[in-house]
Amino acid sequence: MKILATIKRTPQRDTRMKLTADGELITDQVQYEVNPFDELAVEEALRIRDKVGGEVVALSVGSAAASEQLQTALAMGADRALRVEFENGLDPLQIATALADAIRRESPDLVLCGKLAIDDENGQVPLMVAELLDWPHASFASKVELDADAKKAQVTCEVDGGLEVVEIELPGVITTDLRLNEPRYASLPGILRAKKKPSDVIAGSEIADMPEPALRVTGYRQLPPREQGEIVESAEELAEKLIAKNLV
Amino acid sequence: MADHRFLYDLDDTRFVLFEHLRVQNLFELPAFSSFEASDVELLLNEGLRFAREVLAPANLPGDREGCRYEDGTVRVPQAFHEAYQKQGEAGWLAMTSDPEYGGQGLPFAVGATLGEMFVGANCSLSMLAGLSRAAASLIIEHGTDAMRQKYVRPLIEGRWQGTMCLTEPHAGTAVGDINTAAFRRDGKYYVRGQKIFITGGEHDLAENTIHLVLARLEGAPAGTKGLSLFVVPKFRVDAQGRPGEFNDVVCTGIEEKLGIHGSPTCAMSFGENDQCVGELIGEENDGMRVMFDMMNAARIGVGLQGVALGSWAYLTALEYARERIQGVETKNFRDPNAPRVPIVRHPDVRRMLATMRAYSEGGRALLLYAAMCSDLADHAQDAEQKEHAQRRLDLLTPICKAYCSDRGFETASLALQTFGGHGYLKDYPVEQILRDARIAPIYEGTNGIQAMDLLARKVGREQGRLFIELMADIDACLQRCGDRERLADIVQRVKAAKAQIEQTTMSFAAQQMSGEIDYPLLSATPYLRMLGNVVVGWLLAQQAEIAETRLGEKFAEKNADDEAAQNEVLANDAQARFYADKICTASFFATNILTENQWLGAAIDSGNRAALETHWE
Repeated sequence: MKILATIKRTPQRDTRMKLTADGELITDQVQYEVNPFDELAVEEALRIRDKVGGEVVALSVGSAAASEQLQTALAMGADRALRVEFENGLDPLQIATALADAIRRESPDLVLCGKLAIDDENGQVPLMVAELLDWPHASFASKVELDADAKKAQVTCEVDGGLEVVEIELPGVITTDLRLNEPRYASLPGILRAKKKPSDVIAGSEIADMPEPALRVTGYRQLPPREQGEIVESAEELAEKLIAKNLV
Repeated sequence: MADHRFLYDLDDTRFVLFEHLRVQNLFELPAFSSFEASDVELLLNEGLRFAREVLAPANLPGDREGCRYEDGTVRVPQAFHEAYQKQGEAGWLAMTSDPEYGGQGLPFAVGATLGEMFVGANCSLSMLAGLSRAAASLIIEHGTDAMRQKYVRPLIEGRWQGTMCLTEPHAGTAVGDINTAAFRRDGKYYVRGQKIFITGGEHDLAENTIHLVLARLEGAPAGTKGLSLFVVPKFRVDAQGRPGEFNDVVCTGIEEKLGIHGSPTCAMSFGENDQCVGELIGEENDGMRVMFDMMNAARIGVGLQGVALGSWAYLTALEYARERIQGVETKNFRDPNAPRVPIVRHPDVRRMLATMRAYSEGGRALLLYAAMCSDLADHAQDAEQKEHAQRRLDLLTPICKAYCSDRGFETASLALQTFGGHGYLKDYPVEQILRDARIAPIYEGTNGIQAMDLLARKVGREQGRLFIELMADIDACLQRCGDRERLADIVQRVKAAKAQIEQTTMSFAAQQMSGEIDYPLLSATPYLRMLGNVVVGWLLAQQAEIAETRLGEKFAEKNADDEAAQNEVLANDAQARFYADKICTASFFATNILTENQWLGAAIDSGNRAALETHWE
């Protein structure tokens, strides 16, 4: 079975982003890591591979810097890495187009994606990929089970107020939620083996039907500092204050 | 509870490894030819992540919970179990060990870098694994084949704990007074006696404990020349390589300590029932020499503890100083309504930060340089280079241990000072760092012992050859940097300090000729500090040389000829600021720290014997 896991390079999860006076992100001292939701995707792909056999390919769209995160996926145990070369700044549909093109070339049986990236939270991208490929998809998986011949997947999805079990035919796209698994740490021998694994690059110009950007970031603003809190004496007083502020 | 995040200086580490010491040159040696610089990059990232996410979260609970002794067994803090297991599974315990026994064979220079992360993130836990690794190395080097097969792999994998058993209630620093006895019976050796202060002597992370015990064979001479070294397992190893029969080794208690609460410090009793079998390692009465291999490695490890904890303390103080708002800008001190500023704006705080940074970066450079010497001494192709590296490592080992552990503690203390009253509270990590760092100047041979070792066995060896070679290398560096205007002051000060330590060293040599012993020993500790300052001043000057070149290239790229244009480059380029700050660090050290040598040297040269003549007894 061929499983493809998508990877995004995102700022380390506890990073406090800072802005310049003109509202631009200061990134020159930011440390990066694999988007935590994508890590779940890699982990799940490795577990499925280790059970049913096959190959795990880690795929990213981004600049050469993203190779670092692909290396991490290889160190965790992925077999191969593939990167579609683009400078950062693509919009979600453009990213989905690049991913879908690369996926067509690979024709995997299953694509696993993080449900969103922790930087700009474009959770729509995996669904766009499924649409572009005309594949079924299941979102927010907390459990993935394949049937015996790996033609279908039962996916337990985390929905508001409960769980929903859906079945999709493969090939398909599944997005991962936090409770799906606990990603492993790359082992030292794994890290030292990573560079010997194949890594390929697809030039951005080779991507077919790339749409014009439909969305652009115009600026960033810092959140206003939190206002001083206030301790109230009673529930009545709290209610009065909330009413006075038009909050209830 | 405030922020206890573990912080690590990855930028400086990268600079030291790749730009200053050029660790990539090691990968040209056959022993390391399977590694590349890109491996090290990935190792640094993943290792730091592991340190942050797995080891560091167990550090504070480990301190608060501590170890518990119950009826001969010792429980380490609960949080250590999972962290230790994950560390073993991921192969991080076996970084530098011999691949033949399941290690990864990384150069020590890389292992020491990762070691700094792990020791910083969790000092107590990391010391345990470090001891096991060191015990395994000793057995590989000096043991029989049977011993290697039996003990090495489980030690490297962290399933078994290795220990060093030297200290006895009446024989710590005076190791020659050891009276744990060994005797022969039925073609075997048996060991009997009490040891104290045994790190990891007994605990529930390990399924077996392999003690390396110094003991005196019946009939052996007194003093260190009558000591033999024995491998003494807690459980004898059965034919399948598993812990089997109990070997009459009992932990009789653990110590309540100032710091490293997660590390069990055990009192051990060997052979109470005369059933404690030991295997002789090395020759009879040659135990001290064999043990020294492990002690030398452990001494570098203790120096690393100083750097690791000091650097974390510095970084947490720096973060606090940038965020803590207190007082007004100095120029506005008369205006009660002036805006309040972060304390990093205050000159006295900047002085503390600069001092901490100089100690941390200087210590890291020294440690990794020594680690690289160790790699070359073990694996260089060229015989002359190999021997030269070994001599340099021998000279630097006591300096690494004593200088870095002292400076590490001083850094932790300055960091605590930067926090003001808040640093004294358990709300912040500095107070634990300070307590954990305080052991480093004591164990593994007190810093006083290191100073005597430096003076008598290292500087005094081969008519001062080790010292003379070091001075020649310093000269070469000073000549290279000599005509660079921006480095002129640094060069000048390192040159002066070098001349002074040469003079002081000569005066020791003269005293030695005249048979004077007490005065050199009285001066050994300040002498070690002087030489440590000179070595660090030299290493920081090398760093400044590289940084100045790179910074010049950065300015040239942007055609930044005047100050305004250069400031613009600095404002927009973090890497350029890093290089500029490197030069600041070297300059600060040369001016504010290295100049200590003037009064240290003056005191030594004075011949003042007041401390010897005072009526203490």
